[in-house]
Amino acid sequence: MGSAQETYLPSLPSRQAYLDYLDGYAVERADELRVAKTKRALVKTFLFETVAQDQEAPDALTAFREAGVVLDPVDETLFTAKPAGSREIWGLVELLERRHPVLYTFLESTEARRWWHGIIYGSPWLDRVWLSAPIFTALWEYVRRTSSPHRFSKLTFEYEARFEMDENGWDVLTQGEDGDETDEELEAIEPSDESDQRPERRSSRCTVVERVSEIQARLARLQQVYRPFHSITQLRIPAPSRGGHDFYFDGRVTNRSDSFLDHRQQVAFVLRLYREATESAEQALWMSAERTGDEANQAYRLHGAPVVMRFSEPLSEGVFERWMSAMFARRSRFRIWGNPISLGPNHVHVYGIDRHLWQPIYLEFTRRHAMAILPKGTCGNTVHRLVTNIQRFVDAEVKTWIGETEYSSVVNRSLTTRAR
Amino acid sequence: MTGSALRDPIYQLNFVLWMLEEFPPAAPTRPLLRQMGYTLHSLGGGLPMPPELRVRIHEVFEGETGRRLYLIPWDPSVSQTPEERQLCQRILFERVLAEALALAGRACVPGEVHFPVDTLLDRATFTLARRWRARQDIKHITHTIHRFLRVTIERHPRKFATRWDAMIRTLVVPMGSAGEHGELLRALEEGQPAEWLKGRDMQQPELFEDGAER
Repeated sequence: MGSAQETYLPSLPSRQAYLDYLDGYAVERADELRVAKTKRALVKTFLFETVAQDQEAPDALTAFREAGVVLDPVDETLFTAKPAGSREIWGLVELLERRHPVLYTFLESTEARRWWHGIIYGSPWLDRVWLSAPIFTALWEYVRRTSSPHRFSKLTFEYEARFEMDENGWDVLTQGEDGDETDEELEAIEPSDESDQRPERRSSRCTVVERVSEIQARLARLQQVYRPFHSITQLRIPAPSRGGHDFYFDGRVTNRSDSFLDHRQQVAFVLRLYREATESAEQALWMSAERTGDEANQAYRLHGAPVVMRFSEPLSEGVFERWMSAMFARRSRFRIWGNPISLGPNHVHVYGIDRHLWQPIYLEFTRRHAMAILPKGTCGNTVHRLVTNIQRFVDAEVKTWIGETEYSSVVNRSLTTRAR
Repeated sequence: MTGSALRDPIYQLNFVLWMLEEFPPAAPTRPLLRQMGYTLHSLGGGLPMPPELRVRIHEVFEGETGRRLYLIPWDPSVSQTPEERQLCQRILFERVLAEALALAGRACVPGEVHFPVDTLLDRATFTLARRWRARQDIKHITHTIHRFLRVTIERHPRKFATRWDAMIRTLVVPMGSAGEHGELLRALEEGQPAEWLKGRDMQQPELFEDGAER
């Protein structure tokens, strides 16, 4: 970690003073990036989901405080933030969008992510924002329409056939392997050749930095010939002058532009898109019974629709079995608890719970599809998380429907509303 | 799928509900009932399956997709084969356990976790348990829920001391620390409704049931 002066924020009297400070910091880092790799950290933003629609949920500030974050108000929606026991200001929390607060920091990357993990795991009311491939596809469309064709953008595609056997036919999946990022993983995202003992199986990670026009001309063809190109996990939205804003699938954003104000504006734009998509999905999905008729002739009507995720081709029996045996393990990345009920080969039902937000979810799995029912109140963020993880580890080209509407249409509709 | 499943009223009720559901055109199951012009506005305990629909069930559930998730897990007033009843009761208890985990996962530490058995049953049935005909059934089932949760929690090595508050029909578990909270979650996650229900039938109250609660 750098010196305190480089890592922590000073105590300033007003929102404007903080915005000016962060804007000036962004200009300095962008200048350094032009000539060499900057030795100081860039501004990183972490996007949160607060489950704000749940009537039992505390407000966002209480959720942060329960997770061990000390907040001091700068004004009504901006707060300085630090872990309990620290005297330094580690970052700023802003209530930028209803149900989606954000954390700005220029802690060094590993340190920042560790703090962020700690906050999320410290509260059942906070989750990451999960940007799935259909959301990135909609955002790419926004980039294509709003950026000059000669500007550079960046796309990362990531897919790992985690539930396949390795090339020798060994079943190499362990419970720990499917867990969330460990501290070691955070330290060493790119392992050295010697230390990389990961099993050999289908896995693709590819980053393309190219002019917007070039990406647009080739992306559809790439996706046609190689499925992992459907699994977008990172996108750079170009800034008006130089650099851009790197959005990651798990709700991280890095400011590589020379303007913090533009960074904040792009983050707000993506969050509004995300909120509208999530709320549209919740409206369609929430399963509940409503009483109709009078006392003498009362009846109930069920409302709601399922999420259906259809795989691009049937999973092999081996992949299906390994996925099901790993999916509900305690450290599984999917973070869903449940006792699988086997209804025959290749058919599993689970009446379980989202182990992060502690909300019920009912699931069906076959080799051809996964289906989910969300009882009323269960956060739509769970769907984004499920889609993102299935796309990264099971089927990069999975197609999802929210009731009768394709998930990508729900996202696109939210983007269109935003763009007006 | 066995022939007995097709004849099971709870299965048929769920089938009808799914057929009225909105589905994408390319989904594995399509709303045949809706296409056929059926509309249903009320749910009956002993829903008879029209003969023509039995043919449809075979058509839809041919191949691997099999039976859908149960929207209505169980109804004690409906007569079922022992196998079907066992499956439906297990589904009900899996859902109750998920609801109990939801309460425990969000509990404040230190403090008490409250498991109100009527609320758990309500949530596990989308509130439709209120429509069950026999009130005695509900009392018996909530009693079984209470015992299931108590045994699940108390058998954990941490030896939680639970308390039954009869006034509000709630099982109460005191929690002193974040460590205890984690252990309580683990205890519930290790709950196995299938094991618990072995040899038990909720349609037959046990001897001295009312006096068993504490």
